[in-house]
Amino acid sequence: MRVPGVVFASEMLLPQVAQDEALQQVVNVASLPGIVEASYAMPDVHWGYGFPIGGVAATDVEDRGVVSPGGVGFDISCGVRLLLSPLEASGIRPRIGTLMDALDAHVPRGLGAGGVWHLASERDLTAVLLGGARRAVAEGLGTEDDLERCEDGGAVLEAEPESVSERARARGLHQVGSLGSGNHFLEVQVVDEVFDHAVAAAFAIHEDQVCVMIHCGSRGLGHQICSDHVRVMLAAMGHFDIEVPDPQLACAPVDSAEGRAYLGAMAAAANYGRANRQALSVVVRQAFAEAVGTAKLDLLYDVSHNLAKLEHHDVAGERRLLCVHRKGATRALPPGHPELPEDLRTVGQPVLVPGSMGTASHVLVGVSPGGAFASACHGAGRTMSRHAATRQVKGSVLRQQLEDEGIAVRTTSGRGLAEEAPFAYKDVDEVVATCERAGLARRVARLRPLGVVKG
Amino acid sequence: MALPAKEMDRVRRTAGHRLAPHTADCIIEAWGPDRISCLVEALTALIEVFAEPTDTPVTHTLVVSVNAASDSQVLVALLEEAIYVLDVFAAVPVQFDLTESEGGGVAGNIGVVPAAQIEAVGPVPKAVSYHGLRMGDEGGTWRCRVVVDV
Repeated sequence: MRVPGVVFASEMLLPQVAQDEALQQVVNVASLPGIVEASYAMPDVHWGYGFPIGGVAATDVEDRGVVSPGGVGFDISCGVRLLLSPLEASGIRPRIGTLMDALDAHVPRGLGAGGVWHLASERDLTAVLLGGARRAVAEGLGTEDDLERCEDGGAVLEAEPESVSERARARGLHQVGSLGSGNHFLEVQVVDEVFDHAVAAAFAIHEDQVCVMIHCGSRGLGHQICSDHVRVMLAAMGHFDIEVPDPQLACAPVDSAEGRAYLGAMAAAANYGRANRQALSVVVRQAFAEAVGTAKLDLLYDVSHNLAKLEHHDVAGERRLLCVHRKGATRALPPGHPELPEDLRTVGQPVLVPGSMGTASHVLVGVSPGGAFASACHGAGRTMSRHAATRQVKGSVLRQQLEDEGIAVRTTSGRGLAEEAPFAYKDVDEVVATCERAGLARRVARLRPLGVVKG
Repeated sequence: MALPAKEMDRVRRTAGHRLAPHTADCIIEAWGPDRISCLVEALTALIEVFAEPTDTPVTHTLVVSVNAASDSQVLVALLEEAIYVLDVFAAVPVQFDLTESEGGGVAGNIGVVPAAQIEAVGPVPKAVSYHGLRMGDEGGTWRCRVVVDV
């Protein structure tokens, strides 16, 4: 280990952290060349491949620091956006079934469903890879206001479509504006409790308000880019005298042809992921207009939780350029940060934490000084395998349980639903409370699901 | 206690697969009396991650050929090929007719059915990880273990 491993956990969460290979993965990440300060694990950490999910690691670019595709993950720019409606739960409840049916009809998900944004040509795909959500808005999918509330204004500028393989492009061509499957979801939620009224007011959040959370990423394109570049780096590591304890940690110096090619392709996938969530927002607005008479859904924020970024941070009293990997961790910019939207700059960044079906999701805010290179958790964090979850409950039974609790479910797969059962996850309330106690971010509001759309 | 020689031979000749627990994703374990049968079992398991076995007739046949430096890399390349077919052609591979090819590779045909004719029962595999990857001849039985992202 070149640096210590630091795990943010409470007494309640610690046994769950220690039950699988996540801690060994924290140790393995600590061996990456150029890593500084610590190999961090957020309170929702769990077993991944190479990096743990919920891991944060920064490498010093000017001191042989590496970039590792495994430190970003397969689903590059997987992330969350939260749309706020002017409606209250009491007003929507009689029409929730109609609304969920409309969302069910409008949101493509699962195998072979295609996307809502039909790209006419390869040139259009290149424009998405370069322009992200900005390209979507330029094509009439959303508004300039949406872009104001997207991380990086909706697009990473360093995208290099020429570093994206033909196979990745083929997988991405017909999937823009689709949810996917697995743990991805779209939820209609209600603000259940406000913890910080001042920040909630700045975020335009109030109790009983209806909102929509979208959790998805860069689909097959992002996965293929990760696979392609892991393979390249596995072959190249010998040239750089790099050895790693797990092949999925394959890496290359940031300042190398292999490192630069990955970062350019990763940025292209990040833009694809943002365009994907932007396109889905448009059909959500359509569904609301049809079912409840208003398309007004203002974007609070859109943020990725699988990404590497070149950022400046103080390390041992010195300002350094770092490659910060967040694999299942959310950037959490503190108040005053210049990259925040102007109207949120004095408040801090909204940190969106999707929970599990049937429990809750949370909105946090970045704090000063924060920790782990301005990072916080990204979800509840699994504690039970998909396999074990399906042995405990059938999809049809879980669906009925959720319906009995007032949560409408629209899913394409019963087993997929069972695999995502709430009991397969950690207690999200404890996860975010631990984030707050560790000084990573502060709780603003708790959101409860009214309806779930899943692949 | 060791199995009788005849029983051991039967076990070695048996091919099979299982999906083992992984916290967030899925582990495929497969085995068979030779490399090809082990690979075919792994491919079958990959499809069973999200679809029940089907007797829907094959509608198209795709030619596949992979070459890689090691047995485990051949496994990854084949599974990635199946995932590519799922994603790009919205077709589900259900029949695998593979043979050894020159230089340690594998070639053959993959029979597919349209995704619309298959009922999805779980999340669709999207990538193959090198974490904990294993493939080789273990005492006369070919075995593999691979983590698949869903």
